[in-house]
Amino acid sequence: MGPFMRSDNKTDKMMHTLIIALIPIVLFSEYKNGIIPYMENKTDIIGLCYPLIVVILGMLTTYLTELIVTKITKQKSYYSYIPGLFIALVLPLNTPIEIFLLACVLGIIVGKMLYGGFGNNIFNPALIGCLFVLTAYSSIITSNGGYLNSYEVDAISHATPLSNISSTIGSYDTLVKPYGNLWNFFLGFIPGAPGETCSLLCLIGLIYLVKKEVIKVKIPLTYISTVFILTLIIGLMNGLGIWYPCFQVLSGGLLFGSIFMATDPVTSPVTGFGQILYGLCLGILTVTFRYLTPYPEGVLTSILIMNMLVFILDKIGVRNSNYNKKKIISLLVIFISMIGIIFAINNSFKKNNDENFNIISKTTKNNVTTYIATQKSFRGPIKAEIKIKKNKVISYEVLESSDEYINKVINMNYLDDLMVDPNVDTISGATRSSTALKQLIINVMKDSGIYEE
Amino acid sequence: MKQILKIVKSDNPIFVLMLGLCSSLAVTTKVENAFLMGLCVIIVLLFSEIIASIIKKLVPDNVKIPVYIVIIGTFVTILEIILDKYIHSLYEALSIYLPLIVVNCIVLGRVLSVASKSNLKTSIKDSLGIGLGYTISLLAISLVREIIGSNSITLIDSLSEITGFKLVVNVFPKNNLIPMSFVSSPAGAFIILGILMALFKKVGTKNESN
Amino acid sequence: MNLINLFVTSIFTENIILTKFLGICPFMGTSKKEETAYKMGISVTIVVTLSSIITYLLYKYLLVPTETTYLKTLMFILVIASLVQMLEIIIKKYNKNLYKAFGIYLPLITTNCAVLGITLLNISNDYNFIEMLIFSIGSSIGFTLVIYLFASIREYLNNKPIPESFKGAPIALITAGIMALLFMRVVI
Repeated sequence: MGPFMRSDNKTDKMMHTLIIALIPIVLFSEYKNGIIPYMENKTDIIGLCYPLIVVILGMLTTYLTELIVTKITKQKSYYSYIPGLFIALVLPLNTPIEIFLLACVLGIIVGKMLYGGFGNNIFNPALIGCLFVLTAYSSIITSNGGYLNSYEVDAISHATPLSNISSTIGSYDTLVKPYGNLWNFFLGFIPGAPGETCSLLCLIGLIYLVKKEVIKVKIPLTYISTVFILTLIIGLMNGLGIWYPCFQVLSGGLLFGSIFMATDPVTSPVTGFGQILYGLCLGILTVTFRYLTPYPEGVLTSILIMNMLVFILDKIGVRNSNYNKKKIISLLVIFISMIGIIFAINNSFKKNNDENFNIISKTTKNNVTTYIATQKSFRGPIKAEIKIKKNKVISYEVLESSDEYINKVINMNYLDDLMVDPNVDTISGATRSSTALKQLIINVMKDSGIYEE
Repeated sequence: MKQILKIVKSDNPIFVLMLGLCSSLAVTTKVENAFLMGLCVIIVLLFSEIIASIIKKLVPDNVKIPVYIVIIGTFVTILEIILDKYIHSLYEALSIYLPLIVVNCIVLGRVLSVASKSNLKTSIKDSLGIGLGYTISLLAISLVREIIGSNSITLIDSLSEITGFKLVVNVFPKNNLIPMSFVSSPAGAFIILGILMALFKKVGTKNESN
Repeated sequence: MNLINLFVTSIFTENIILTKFLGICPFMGTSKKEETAYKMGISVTIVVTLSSIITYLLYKYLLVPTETTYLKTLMFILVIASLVQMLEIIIKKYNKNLYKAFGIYLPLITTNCAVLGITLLNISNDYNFIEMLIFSIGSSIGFTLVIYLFASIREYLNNKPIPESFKGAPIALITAGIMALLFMRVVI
């Protein structure tokens, strides 16, 4: 039961069509990340050609890696330049070049060749390369500039739109305004991975691929509409209009991922109903990742997780005696989990409604949850690291503060007072900063579910 | 000695028999932990096999497993008490993987399949060979994981409670690629073990054909 | 809300196989076929839940008052071994079909480190009774989920042109590594 059909002519045609559909996206990336910053005098001649160089380098690296590996293992090499192209379009523009090359090599070797080469891989090779690199080096990539090109760093100085939504629902002013209007999202003039920003070209690519009949069109359609409907409901429950689901669909790698990555012929289901289930699950996973986890860009992880489930989905999708029964049960399960997810997400907003409070990171290790959070106070923001173990704040440390008085507060047994009774009034002689520190700790406790009003 | 080395190679518990993988994956974030865990397993395995081989005639067949588990469990408990007292930081670092030696398939497996059937000398040789093989494999995995995952080699850290000094070697100068943080995470453990296992298999088959 | 959090965490983020490495032996051994995988999973779930309750109560009301907590390893393994033996006898007596289906998996569970591991973790994490129950059930569901998922992948990998030295366990371990990377991202 191989999901991949082996008629070589058809595969050739499919890959050529795919490349043609991707060319406008590569050119747009060159225009947005190379030409515009050059015209604005924000970069030099290398910066002008950089987006194109990365694409070519990526394709060359994956091609050469596969050539070397196939020489050793005596397999055949197929379409080995495509993963490199995808990696170049998905990884942030400012990924240091050696890390980018490592992603290409790991993607081909671990994601493709170890599984027996083209047609046998379980996971999408390009996404495997990105997953390794993004897990290992995310801090290095971010400190090197992340997704922003040299023009955006000065002009916008915001992270990608999606980094604003984790754990708060946001509003039009915080989500869309900083980047202009939704039209910019549609045309692609927002920060993001090189290939993912231009929704218009992704949709044109989809139409072209459908016209050439080389794409499993059910997957992107169900995927995108699931995300649209779920975020529409979440938006309506919080009093946001139709712009909200549109923002969710247009931002991040959703369109690019659903059209070009999720439909990868090797790693997606072959049965029709399997494809619908695949799209539905992808939608639910992506929405879950965007709201409930610290990884707002959930498309990559969702696709890789669903890659593992392809065999089970195809078993459900095979037409045999109890096809209808399987169909009803699986749709029921999905419907229930959708309702559950909507409520879980809606609940997560209620926990945190202090606008001055912002969680920067939240990590759990050995039962200790470490929060790094900021709270705006009278004399500027306070940044603090708070550790929580088994429903108790075990330590807190102020990392940055513009107020010197805060150090005096820390020396007192402030935490102990707070632990006895979170409603304890601001300790005597404290300034507004200590109020802010207290508010910060209470907000962290609220977020972790310890503190309830 | 030759026999012991042969067991190390042909019956390597991790790469060939694939027994006792749990602890080998969990404790190999640091070279020191791996080495000490190997030492613990050698001690437990040695004493358990000696006892099992001495009392093999006294144990009826149908209560074999419970009796042997109790023997192994006793040695593990003794070891736990000693470590807790003298090298507490190591006891913390190995956490639940120390008591899990009880159900470590290599220990029980070897006691059942070798010690309960053969004489004292063979049992001792077998326990040393298996224990050594286990320790060497653990060292190999932890060396790769620690160098790539944290760009260091920890030789003496928890042991400093006894020796009084620490010895941690840094490997590469500062660069972007190493440390590759996920290698020291659980996911990296699986991947590194998989790759090392494939290499061991490859080298093994090459030697055989020669 | 905290209990739900603990439940989800014990299934995904701190999955017993993929992040704690417990139960790797049955994971590699019984995950070759989907059917054996889910049967093993159900057996483990039952044994884990029962033995967690028993060992937890014994620890709290026998070992702690008598200050003999260092005997926990020995005690727990004996409880698990005898529990498995008893279950085997009971099932054999009352339901022949059930015994046929699950009988061969039960003895294997005694030496499954996941069972002893979860009972020990319950103690070292200092859970109260409800948390202990949620954690035990969540962990065993995580165990079942992963071996079933893995079995479906391994059935597919069986007849693929994987490089000779990577066939079998190595490629399975690498796939498990990628799964672990993905599961780690389900942080709530």
